[in-house]
Amino acid sequence: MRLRYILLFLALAAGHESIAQTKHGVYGFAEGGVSVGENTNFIARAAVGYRFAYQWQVGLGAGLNAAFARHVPLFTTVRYDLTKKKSTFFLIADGGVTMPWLMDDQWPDGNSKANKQHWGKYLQGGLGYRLNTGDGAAFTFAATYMHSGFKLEYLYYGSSNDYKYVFNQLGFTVGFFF
Amino acid sequence: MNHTLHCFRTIFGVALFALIQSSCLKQSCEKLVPAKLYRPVYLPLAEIRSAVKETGPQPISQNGKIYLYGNYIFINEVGKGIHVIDNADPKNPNVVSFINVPGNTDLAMKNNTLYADSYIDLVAIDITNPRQAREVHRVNNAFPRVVYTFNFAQSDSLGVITGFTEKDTVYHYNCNSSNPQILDRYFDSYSNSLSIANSSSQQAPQAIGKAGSMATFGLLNNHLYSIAGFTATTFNVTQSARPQREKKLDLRAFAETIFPYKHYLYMGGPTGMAIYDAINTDTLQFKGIYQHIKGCDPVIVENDLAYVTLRSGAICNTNTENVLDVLDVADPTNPKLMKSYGMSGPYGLGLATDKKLVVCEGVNGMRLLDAKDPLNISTIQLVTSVAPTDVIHEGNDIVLLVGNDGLYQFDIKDMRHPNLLSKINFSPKSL
Repeated sequence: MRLRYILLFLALAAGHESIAQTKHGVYGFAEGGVSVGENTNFIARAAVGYRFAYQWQVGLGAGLNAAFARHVPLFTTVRYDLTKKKSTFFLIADGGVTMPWLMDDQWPDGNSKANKQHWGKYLQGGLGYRLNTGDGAAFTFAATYMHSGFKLEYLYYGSSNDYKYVFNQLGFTVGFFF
Repeated sequence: MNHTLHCFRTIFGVALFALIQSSCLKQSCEKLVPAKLYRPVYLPLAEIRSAVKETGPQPISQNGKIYLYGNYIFINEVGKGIHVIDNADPKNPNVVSFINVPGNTDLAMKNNTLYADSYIDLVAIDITNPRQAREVHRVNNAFPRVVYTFNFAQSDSLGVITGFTEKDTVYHYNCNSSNPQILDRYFDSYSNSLSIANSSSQQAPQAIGKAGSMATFGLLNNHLYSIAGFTATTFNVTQSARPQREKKLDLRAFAETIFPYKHYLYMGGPTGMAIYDAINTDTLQFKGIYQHIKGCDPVIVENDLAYVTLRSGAICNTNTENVLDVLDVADPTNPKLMKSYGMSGPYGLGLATDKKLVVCEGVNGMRLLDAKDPLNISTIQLVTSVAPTDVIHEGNDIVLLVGNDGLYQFDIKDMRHPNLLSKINFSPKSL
């Protein structure tokens, strides 16, 4: 049901027309929403960067993925507006690393903390829509596909058992662009 | 514009549906467990049973069980066969032949017949002329079939397991599965070694011969006893060349070495020395046990006195002391410790009739002791130039030592000044 509302909202937003964007300058955004996969959980991310050539935005960001094993993505983000209008669809491509940040009850192996935590990769791609609110600010709506993972290592008498986490998720977020 | 939006909506909707329905949205946690995978290597029974033959002298690559029979010394090359050494002149022993016996671990002899295990069979070999040894009889399936971890076992179709190939692997388990059963595919060949053995008595008539104190075959009153853990297998050897399998008997204590004396069998094991009465051949009557904490302990017996060595260390998996225990076994139901003597790391031991006691101390050397007074045994000499693990006395004055690097013979008539008579070199092997 929730997915249906999101799709409806995106469809309505697609009909909004606005004026052209600024050519370049510093920008930032903060987004929050849910990821949908085998489990549904809260996600959030924020980034700051630089906008150039009207349609390109490149920045650095961090996020939070409250999955069954909580983790924090640190990433470089690239966004490309499909038009030069202030309200427009845009493409999203993020890449970086995922840092495990498990809650106390999320540790495997008897809930004991891992001896070593290995960061993994973080990749995200998707489509968003920016709805202009004036003065260069905008609401954003995005649907993305995320792939991330990391590894925990437990040492036992010279040997080790590893726990490998992989997350493939769809993310739906609402955010604010400024 | 409307057309573009329509396209976007359609594409987005299809993509979303496909993703939700597909495995692209899996979230997983896998437990990765590194392990070693052992796969059995089989040798067909037909191949084993046609392989016993004399092949001419071969270099000795590792020490095994030793046996003295007349002027010949027999040394088994574990898993491969038996070397024959002409020892008519102890100063100049000569390797004269090798009897190929696959899977051999121990041996015993009586009336020119050599008994050797070959995996699951007992083979009788005529050694009237050791240079032309030949198989004269075989007891098929004489020994208990060894069942390895997770029910790997030899079979008529595949043959016997001669070893394991090792491969590193990583098992993947779902993190949510409780207590993954990794052991169902993990095979530890370390604990799977086949050990079927043998021994014989120092007091036995010359027609039988002498085994080292580490033997697991024992000859007593026309019966051959083979011990393996909690089991003893008996053979009737009244007709020397046609041994007949009799019984498989259960033992009260885990046994690693056997020493027949009078009508008793003294068995050394990791938890103690057990005494069984073998006067009734239908069964072994447990008489008593001398227990200790834990250790490797070959045993020899002479005139109601038993000499037991205990060794600590990784192989024995113990932290016990390295000692020589002297026990009063006049009452077999109640063996009593008379006195303990500190040792360095004792293996096998041997006692001559004039009470010259030799204890093999492995890398620590050969210890020569005067054992005339069991309550006051004293070290006369420690020869550190050798690293023996087992010993046989040739009369009172000559000892035959087998070590990691060779077969030694010493004249110990003067224990203060033992004289090396000869050495046959082996390729090095870690003790």
